[in-house]
Amino acid sequence: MRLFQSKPLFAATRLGVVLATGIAAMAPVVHAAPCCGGGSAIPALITGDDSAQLNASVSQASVIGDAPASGMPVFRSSNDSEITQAFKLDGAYRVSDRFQAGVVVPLIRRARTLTNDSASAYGFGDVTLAAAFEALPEWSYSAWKPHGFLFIQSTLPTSPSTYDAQAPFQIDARGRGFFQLGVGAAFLKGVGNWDFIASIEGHRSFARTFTAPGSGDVNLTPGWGTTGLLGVGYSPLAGAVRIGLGLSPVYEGPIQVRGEIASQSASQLVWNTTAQVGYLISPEWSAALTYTDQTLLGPARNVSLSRSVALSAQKRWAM
Amino acid sequence: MKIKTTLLACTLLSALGCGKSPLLNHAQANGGGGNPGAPTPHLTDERGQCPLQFTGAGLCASITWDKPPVSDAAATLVLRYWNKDSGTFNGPYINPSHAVGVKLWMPDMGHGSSPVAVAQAVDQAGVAVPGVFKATNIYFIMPGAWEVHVQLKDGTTVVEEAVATVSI
Repeated sequence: MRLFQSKPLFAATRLGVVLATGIAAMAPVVHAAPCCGGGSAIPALITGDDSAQLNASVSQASVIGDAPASGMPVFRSSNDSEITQAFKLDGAYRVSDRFQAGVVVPLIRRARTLTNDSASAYGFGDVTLAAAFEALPEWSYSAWKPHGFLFIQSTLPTSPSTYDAQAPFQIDARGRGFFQLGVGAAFLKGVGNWDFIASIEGHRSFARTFTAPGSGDVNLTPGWGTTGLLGVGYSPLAGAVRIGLGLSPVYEGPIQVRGEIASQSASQLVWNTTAQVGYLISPEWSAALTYTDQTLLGPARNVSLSRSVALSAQKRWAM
Repeated sequence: MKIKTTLLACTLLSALGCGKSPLLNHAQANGGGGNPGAPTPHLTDERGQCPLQFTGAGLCASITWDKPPVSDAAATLVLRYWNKDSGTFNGPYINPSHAVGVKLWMPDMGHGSSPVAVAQAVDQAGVAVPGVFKATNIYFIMPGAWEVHVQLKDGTTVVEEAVATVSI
């Protein structure tokens, strides 16, 4: 239970619930691959005095170009369209005063249209499980101490990946293909009408053997990856509207390939730049519109670059 | 004060991604779908050359692109096999003793593409042409450096393969 809640803290908490909606939608395409609508730099944390929250979002991402391992990115021609649409349910539940658990379930549709060909496919993406500990609670007002969380999250390879895709353009790939375990920390701070978020996450993906129909085994050993997030938000007149900007670099280490093919991939790096408008409809409801662009900041290496728009709504249940 | 703070925040965010912006530093794809001027790599008409060598099977093979390798259209290619001692690029062509397979791979990205269909070529009368195979459903799903693994297979086991490289 919160023992004391000062007026500044109330303002910060008010910002926090708007920010919470933003966190859930902050990085809709944080994975380096364009296929996978799931996964994010930071779980959708309960940051206010709520017992549970459910976030629903719809998003559409368009691949704009491709950045090679070295050299200049190439933007795609007008007769090459690749889009990923995702509907994502993201729930979090407060298990005890400082512990919470969450799950993310994405439903993904991918489509690609070329000069003379087109293909599309849809289905569930990779499911993510998360747990968080409120390491730095905001029980009393502090001018400097942030609201801090430690979290652990795991992505389960519940959907087809690029390694077992069968459809043209691998359009049926909706996941990364690996079991992934990550830990991280997130810090939030409200100062007047401003709020700030900083997060760092590191993850390890684990080796897996794939056997595509008619092909031999391919054993893939992925490496480490890390994601950062810096965000700033402003609520005019400390009102219900929050305008936010975020920057989230994503790094994925090389993948060792053995079996039918023997090679080692290059590492991947992409920068997600996010602009967001959030609105606190009521103490229980909020909504956010988020634009994410991977073409603005660089360097980008060995990734497809996309732009996406996401609309999300969040329902919270008070303690 | 508010303006200063806003400028500071924007500058900080911009500076953190201080590398080259893809938006400001990029090339534009040509839209090569159906472009007859696109590259036809690994095609040679020199007799006696062995563009793709299968030492164990004693064979050579060549790749001819019917539809060129581009990232915004499907490509097709023709594989021709000949005895490395008695044949040439222009024939006579012979069937390998193992099944023929083609697999695309993008080494930098660490993944391939969707399965490539390979079938023995037939002439206008519908009769199989010995030693000549046609590969279709070839999708280079993004620009970059690709490998075309031309395989001789026993079931799902690759007995021998030769690798051609393609830059899209």
